[in-house]
This record gives sequence, C-alpha cells and structure tokens, in this order.
Amino acid sequence: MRITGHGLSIDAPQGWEARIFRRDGAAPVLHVATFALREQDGDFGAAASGRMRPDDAFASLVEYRGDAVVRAGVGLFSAIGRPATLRAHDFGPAQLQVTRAGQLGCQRFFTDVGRPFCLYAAIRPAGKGPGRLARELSGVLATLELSGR
Amino acid sequence: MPAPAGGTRPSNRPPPRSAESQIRWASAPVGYLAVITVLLLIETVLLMLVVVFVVGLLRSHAEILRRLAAVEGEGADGGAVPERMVGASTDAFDIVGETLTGDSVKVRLGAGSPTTLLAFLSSGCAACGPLWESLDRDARIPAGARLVIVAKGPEQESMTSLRELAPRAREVLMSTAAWGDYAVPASPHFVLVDGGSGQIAGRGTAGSWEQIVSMVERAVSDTALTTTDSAPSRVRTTSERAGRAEQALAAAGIAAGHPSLYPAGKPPAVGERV
Repeated sequence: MRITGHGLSIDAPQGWEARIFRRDGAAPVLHVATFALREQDGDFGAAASGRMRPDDAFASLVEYRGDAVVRAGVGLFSAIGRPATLRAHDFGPAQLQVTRAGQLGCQRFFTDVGRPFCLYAAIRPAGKGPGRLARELSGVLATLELSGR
Repeated sequence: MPAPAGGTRPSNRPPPRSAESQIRWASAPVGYLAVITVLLLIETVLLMLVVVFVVGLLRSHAEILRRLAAVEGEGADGGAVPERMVGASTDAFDIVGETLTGDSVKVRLGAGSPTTLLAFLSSGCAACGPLWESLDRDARIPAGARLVIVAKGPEQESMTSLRELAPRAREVLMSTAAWGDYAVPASPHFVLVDGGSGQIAGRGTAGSWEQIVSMVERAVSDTALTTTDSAPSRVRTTSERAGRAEQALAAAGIAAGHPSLYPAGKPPAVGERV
C-alpha cells in the first residue's frame, strides 16, 4: 500500500508500517518499519529503535533544509542519487544513532532531485541474518519516489 | 291570441313558454352539475395527492427516528446496547490515511501487530460527541491496546468540525476506504483487532467510553479463554512448528551458530553434515 505526502512516496508491503510527516518549520521525514510506529518517534527513530523486536527493520529518510551550511550536492550531501541497495556489510553497531544490543545501523547522506537527505536504517537480526534483513529493507526502499522542489 | 269562441276564459296558469325558453331552462341545471362535478373531481385528486405526501413524510420521519435511536445506543425496539462486542474472526485490513496536519500514515494490522482498537468516529454524529470529549480528556485505553481513531476522508468530513473535535494528544486518521473495508454501518463504531492473529476479535458500538472499556476488556478476556493451555492448540504443519520454534529461539537471542545448539562443542563447518 503506497502512501504519499510532502513530496515523498513509498510502497509499504504487508507487514510494514510507514509514516510521512513534517513537524512545524521542519523538512519532511519518512519512516518505514516492520513494527508499529508512533507519532512521537524521533526523526531518526530514537524511540522507535527501542521497540525493535528480533528480526525487525527500520529506516528513516530525513530531508534537510538548505542553508549556509547545508547545501544540496555539496559537502556531506555531495553524493548524487539515492544509495544503492543496502547489504549486510553496510551495517554495523558503530553506525547506530542509539546503541542497542543486537542492533546494526547504517547511515547515508545524499542529494536527489535537488533535495539533501539522510537515510538511516537499523536492523536487529536474529532468526534472519543481516543479509536477508538488508535485502528486505532495500526492497521496500526501492519503491521510494521523490518529487523535485 | 284571440279569445276563444263562446267567451270561456283560461285558468290562472302562466302562459306556456316558447320552445327556446324551454330549452334554455332545461340545460341550465345540467351545466351547473357538470361544473360541480369537475370541481369535485379536481378536489378529490388534490386530496389524494396530499394524503400520499403526508404518508411519505411520516414514513421518512419514522425511519429517521429509528436510525437516530440506533446511533444513540438504543436498538430498533428501544432496547439497550449489547454489552458484548460481536466477534467476527476475520482478517483485519491495513489502513492508509491522512492526518489532520496532512501527514500520510499506513497502519499495519496483520499478525504480529499490536492489539489495536479502531474507533470510527465522525464530526457530524451527535452520539460521537461524548466519545470525542472522553478521548480529549486522555481516556484510559483498555487492555493496553493501541488506539487508532479513523474518520472519513476530507471529501466526506467537515475539516473545521473535525479539527475542533479531535483530541489534542491523539492522532486522527482520515480514511474513507477504511470505513468500507471494515463495513462500518454508522458512527460511532469500534473494531478490536487481535495483534497476535491479525484478526478482528470483536466489533460494536457504545454510547460512552466507559462502555467501550468494559466491552473491550470482556472481548479480550473471551479471546484469552479460547486460547488457554487447557484447550488444544490449532494443529500446525511441521514447517509451522519449526518456524514457531525458530521465533522462540530468536526471541531468546539464540541464533544460528549459537554454542548451545551444538552440544558437541563445535558448530559444523560449511558443507559438513550435522
């Protein structure tokens, strides 16, 4: 089931939840996960990652507002186009926004359709290996559609 | 006329009328009767139309009263609201909707999702008023369920009224499709989805939040009683049993390669048979 809002769109299949929201004065944020999401989750899912069960996956796409420091296609956001398919070796415990046992994180900065973004993903492999979780999460992220400003 | 011979005079009868005057006098009552008849016919037709109109008004009024009674928590026969949620045991549907601030949300309701109470409310429903107020006062959500308030989409709702009624601390999703998916007959209407199975555990309506709490807790209790250890679990295939065991191990942090899985003390090498 596809959801669309604030210039972002994603197809969350059965078993996944998704939210596209924008706080007052901020740029849009997209969350997608294999567990229940809440309105009060932080932009990068600090609260959401605390609810991850074994074999859960979470991803957050955060757009940044351009200013003197943040500029699309420059510096931290110099990578053009969304990241390639995420794989197991892209994830690691050191890339977690909030370190939690059993979880692995991945972070990518990029610019697409002239908009600077950060993609943050977290997985908690258990019965499923990190490779399988990374593939499933990548499959959902591949349905992402961005509209230019 | 000359006097008749013999000098005999006629009686004091009026002189006979001419043929023309006789015809005029005979046709006058016939014309008058025709007019009267036509007027009576017209009046009868109008009266019949009025009767039909009044009967139609009375029927529609009765229907309105019946539906109003049903919405306000009384049955068609004036009885009390059922004290139990009606179980359905059918699969729940995911919900995609828009919040009042324009955000887009997809709520998962299949197996493995939290137990969820869907509250179908509207801004134009008088019976929903007390429920909106209760939710705004941070009403207790029964059975630890996740509450999802679902209104119809902007094309069928008054956005101004909805924004005034929406609880400040709770999100309202607008989704006309969800009302159709869940066959919501009228508002207020509640659907309880069991998280473990992803099935509808019960549905019903209530006039107060306290009534809803009671109904939900009873429905949850009934569901728990039907899945106690004393009752035989549903027969599962070998692969389903294996999957359940794998999930239990994963929940305990025991993944492939864990030492406890290899009493011999060494996990097998690649290609080595266990």
